[in-house]
Amino acid sequence: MTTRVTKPVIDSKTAKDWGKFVLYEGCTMPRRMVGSRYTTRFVLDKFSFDYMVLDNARCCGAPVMRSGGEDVSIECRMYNLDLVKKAGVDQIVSGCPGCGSQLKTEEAEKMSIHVYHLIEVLYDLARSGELYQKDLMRPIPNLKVTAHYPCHMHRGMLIDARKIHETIVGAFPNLEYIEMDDSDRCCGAGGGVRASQKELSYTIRKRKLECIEETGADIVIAACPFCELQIDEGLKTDSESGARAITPQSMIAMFFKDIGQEVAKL
Amino acid sequence: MLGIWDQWNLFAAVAMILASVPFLIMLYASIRGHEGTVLCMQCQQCVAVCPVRAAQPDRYMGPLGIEVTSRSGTKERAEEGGLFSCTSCMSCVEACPRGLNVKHDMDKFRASLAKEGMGQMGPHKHIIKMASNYGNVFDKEPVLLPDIKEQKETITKFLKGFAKITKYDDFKIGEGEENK
Repeated sequence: MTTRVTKPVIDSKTAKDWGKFVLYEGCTMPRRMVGSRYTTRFVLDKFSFDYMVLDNARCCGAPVMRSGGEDVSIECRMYNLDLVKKAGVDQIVSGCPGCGSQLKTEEAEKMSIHVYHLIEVLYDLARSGELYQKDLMRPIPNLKVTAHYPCHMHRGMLIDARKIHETIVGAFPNLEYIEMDDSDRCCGAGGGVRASQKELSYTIRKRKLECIEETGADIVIAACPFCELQIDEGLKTDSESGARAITPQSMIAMFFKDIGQEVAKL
Repeated sequence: MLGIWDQWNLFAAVAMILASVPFLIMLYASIRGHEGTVLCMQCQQCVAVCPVRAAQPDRYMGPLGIEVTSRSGTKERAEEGGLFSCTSCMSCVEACPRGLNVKHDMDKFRASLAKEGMGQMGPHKHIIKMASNYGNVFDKEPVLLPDIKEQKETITKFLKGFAKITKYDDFKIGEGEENK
């Protein structure tokens, strides 16, 4: 069916209302962007969220769908939704918007499973004033922060990316939020293009890197591990800006005093 | 010579056939799973915002091309025009004044091409095979997620990368080059 995309809306709750949820990690975070995988759990633990990770979760099916494997893709999605249902949980929080938009479907609605992006959880913390923990965090450095709005978050999951990023960055002192031009423009990684046509993927990324350079930002928030991988690699190899792309949870995690000790304990 | 009543019946029959044409087209397209493509009025708003089209204006047919080839079922043209080059960013979906979901049509059309062994490149086939056999698209491991404790070294290096941004000295822990 044709789905009309309307003005992005925010469908989130206050921080206190979050019950138990499944943290869906997808493929990229646990296998390629393991730093973000750790900081996701670290931040959720710090704010005492009640969550569980399903170790036998499979690929969400999004890259499979883009590769022409519709049947396998639907099979993957239904497997994961069934897994969540069997665990007795009715909320999924995904750290990856590609996975989130793949799981946030009519099938999920019929099974009464609500799918959210991790940034909605962080937004609720920022909105309720809980995100900046003065006693637990070190002095926040003066940093210019910009954000890339991942396509599947902004247009796929219909999350108001501008408002959310402004609120999250604005929750911390000394951070200056600068919106880049074409902030919601594709980074070039999705749709199987990075995997199959690297040169095309890099040509698309070039415009994103130019926009980042224009802001003079130190940090680029990319709330998608695949966008993070694509942009951070570009900043290291094709840009002299010195900026780094990280997920919002990684930015928040690094402000905590004890993250070094916690990693050492692993 | 037809009488007035026969003329009226003929007129009514022709009018009914003409009036039902859009419905029949929609029905046909719906059966093929491309009901959205019929509504495309070729206004090119989608082409204007497409980042892939901007990167490859001479090679990539763009979202409008996807809609047109999808509607006509011209698979060879879709393959040549880069159906598998779309990044699924949905800029076209946002721009479409009729709210057509080009991404949905593109997914369907990709699947129908793939069934005939068209369009897919090596990595696409690899992704489907990996997800099907191992439950993830990267590693030849069972479905189970890697244990986070086994990733300590990589996490430590990742943290080290923060030192440059924040100038927090205590992030300079661990050995080896920073790595994500």
